[in-house]
Amino acid sequence: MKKTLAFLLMTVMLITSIGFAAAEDKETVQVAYLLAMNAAEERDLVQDAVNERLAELGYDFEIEFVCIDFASWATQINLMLTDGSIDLFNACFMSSISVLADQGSIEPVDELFAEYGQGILDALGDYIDCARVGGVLYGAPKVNAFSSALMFLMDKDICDELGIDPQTITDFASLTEALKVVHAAYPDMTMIANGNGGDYMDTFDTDLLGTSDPLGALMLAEDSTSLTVQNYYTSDTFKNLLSYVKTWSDEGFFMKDPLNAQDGSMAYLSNGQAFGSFVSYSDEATALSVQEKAVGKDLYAAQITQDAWATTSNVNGMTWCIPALSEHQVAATQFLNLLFTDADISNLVCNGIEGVHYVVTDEGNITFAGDLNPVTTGWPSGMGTFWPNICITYPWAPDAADVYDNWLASNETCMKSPALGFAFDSSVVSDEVAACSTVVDKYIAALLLNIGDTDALYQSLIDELDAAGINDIIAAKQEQLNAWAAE
Amino acid sequence: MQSAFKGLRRKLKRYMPLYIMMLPGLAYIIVNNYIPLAGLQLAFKKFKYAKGIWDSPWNGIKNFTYLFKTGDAWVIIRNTLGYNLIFIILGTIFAILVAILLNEIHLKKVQQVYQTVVLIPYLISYVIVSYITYALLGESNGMINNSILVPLGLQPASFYTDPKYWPYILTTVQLWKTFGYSSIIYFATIIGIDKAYYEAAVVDGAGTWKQITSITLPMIKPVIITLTLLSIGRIFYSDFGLFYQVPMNTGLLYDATNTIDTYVYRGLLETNDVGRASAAGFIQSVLGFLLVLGTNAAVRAIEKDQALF
Repeated sequence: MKKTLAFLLMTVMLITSIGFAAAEDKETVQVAYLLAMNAAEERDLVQDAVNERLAELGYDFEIEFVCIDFASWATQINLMLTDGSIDLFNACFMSSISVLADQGSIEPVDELFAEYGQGILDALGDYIDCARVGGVLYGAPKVNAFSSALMFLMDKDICDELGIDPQTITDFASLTEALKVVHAAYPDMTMIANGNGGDYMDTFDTDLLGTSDPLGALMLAEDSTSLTVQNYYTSDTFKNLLSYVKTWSDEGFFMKDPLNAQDGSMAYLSNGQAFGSFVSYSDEATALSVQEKAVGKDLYAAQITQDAWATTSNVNGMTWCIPALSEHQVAATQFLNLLFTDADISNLVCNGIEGVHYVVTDEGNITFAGDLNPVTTGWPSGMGTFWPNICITYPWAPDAADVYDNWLASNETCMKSPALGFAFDSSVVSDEVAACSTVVDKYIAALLLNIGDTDALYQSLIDELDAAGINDIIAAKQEQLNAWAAE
Repeated sequence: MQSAFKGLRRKLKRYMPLYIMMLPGLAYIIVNNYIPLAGLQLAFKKFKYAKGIWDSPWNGIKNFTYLFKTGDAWVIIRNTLGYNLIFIILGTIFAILVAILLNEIHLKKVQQVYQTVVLIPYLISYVIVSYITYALLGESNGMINNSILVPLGLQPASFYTDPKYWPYILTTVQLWKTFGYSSIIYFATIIGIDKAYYEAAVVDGAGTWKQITSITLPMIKPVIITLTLLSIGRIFYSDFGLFYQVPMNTGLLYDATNTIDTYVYRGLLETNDVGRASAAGFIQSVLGFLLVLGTNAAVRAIEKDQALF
């Protein structure tokens, strides 16, 4: 009896081990995919199609999409970085790549890219330097319209009704005048919508030097060639903004209880509670093409700052990285290279399967296949900008077939920060950064919405930042920037 | 010697089933509470993902310095300790009061209803509590401003921009949320007190108040001491939901709402630094542990039998 049992067990083990061996024949690259819109219900379909294409091109690895919900993205990826269960990911909505590099969680990719990633280097040109930390390359920023200007988006119907021409709005002064007109006609409407926690505007005309905060920055509109790191909060750009904030607040342009807003600012445009909102895009057309879909209304965009600037932070916000603990780094690099160069694979990940999820129109753009729509489709349609190279895929109607050519052209023509390609390594002053971020969090929302005694609050902000060591951060940034410029 | 060994063996054999039953619990405690103690070393290391916990380089006390970098250090420690002390004192008084009142209800059905009702706040998530608070305190739509202050001809108060209100608001919210749960523990002790004491007291002519002060309170003293010691062990921790969600993370309120936990969360949001987070946890747990030892020693010095260990 015992012998029979032992024999049976042996057989079972043998069979299973053979089975596993067969399954592990091809190495599998785990690619993280962000679920921000509807779930990717037909993940397997797209995955099989990508693997089919890989086999066709003669690669001996397969890929698998690891779908992670937006809400748990950063936590989940961080966890997966500790055990190498992911091989390729987009470091968006996470710490900046200089922090990831300092933690040793992402792999230096200079050699990998030189050998297997020529297509990546070609697609990005000089912009790839924005993914360098201390001279070492840590990933590939996704191809994008990299520059950014401050825009004001407005409800088109109201503008037309009141005869407001968006062309005449070119700075804060003309914007304020236009908003006064609208406010007089619609006194109950919010003029400038804000989002969660009172946030309503990105920093503008400012080079954050590869970090996500303006603790020490280049003020580009004040001097477009200087490499002098300044305190953003004492800069003329910021003070000028604060003086307009006072006017906007006195005129009643802001929301009621702005600090308690629970939605993104666009939601208030969408439901008609607000007239307009600030956004940052490379140009007016791009801002409209993205936001009109999101808001579901016709909008006008007015560029408020004079120039659109390309800075390291604008470029490397979405950088594709390879985890240091990944066991499939070569295959991951090869796949990343294909994402940058192979239109078939890029179309699959960005848009789904032709004939199943989308159809190509005569104009060279695409629309949903059959009676699908953004909600019912099995592969999210608006997530193309998540992937490395949307510019080699079909754009969705109503965007013109050449819309991405404009993006690429804007990268050539935009203003470039003199520090483009420099990313600050904040690990030397991380105590100061932690302390200063708390100080900024404490005051910034109140200052930008003119709540309380803002003159006193402003003075406290400046004093407390000094005490928290902002000058050490500025000095460290200046030192690293000088060293970078000397190279 | 021989017989002692025999006795031990007999005991072991007799209680074997109990020891076996203990194993899963023991394994749980070891895996969950003791093995992670090795992770405390992270507080003194520069954590590198590629190297793991054991091989990451040592870092001295560098991970701790950010906690004391600003003038905020004093504010966050004051807030954490101050609020917790108030919560422990008021919370205990309030919980015992409710437990005694519950015990004075003699209709069984009614008592059960109250017992359930007082527990409800404890079961509500802090995110929802934060909206209830906002519904009460909001500036343009809040109930207190619109239904009480303005109709009375008073100035509406701007609760979310002025820290001076928040010590009271947070204490009220915390008491409201936790009194039911903590009173249940006292209530369970009180109903366990032998009724004969009360009967004897009534015969001797003691009123309700006298019964409470002379029988109930002395009988539940060990439980009060145990629960207070347990709360003191967590005195450097704060409820993240209470201090982050309820004030809706409003910057202007930091002076009254910033505690060690929220400071660490905000400070490390961008850098996600494992070593620094461990350092904060290290300080909180070690100081809490020392405080428990100290308090217990104090209790033992005053009244030996009442000490926990």
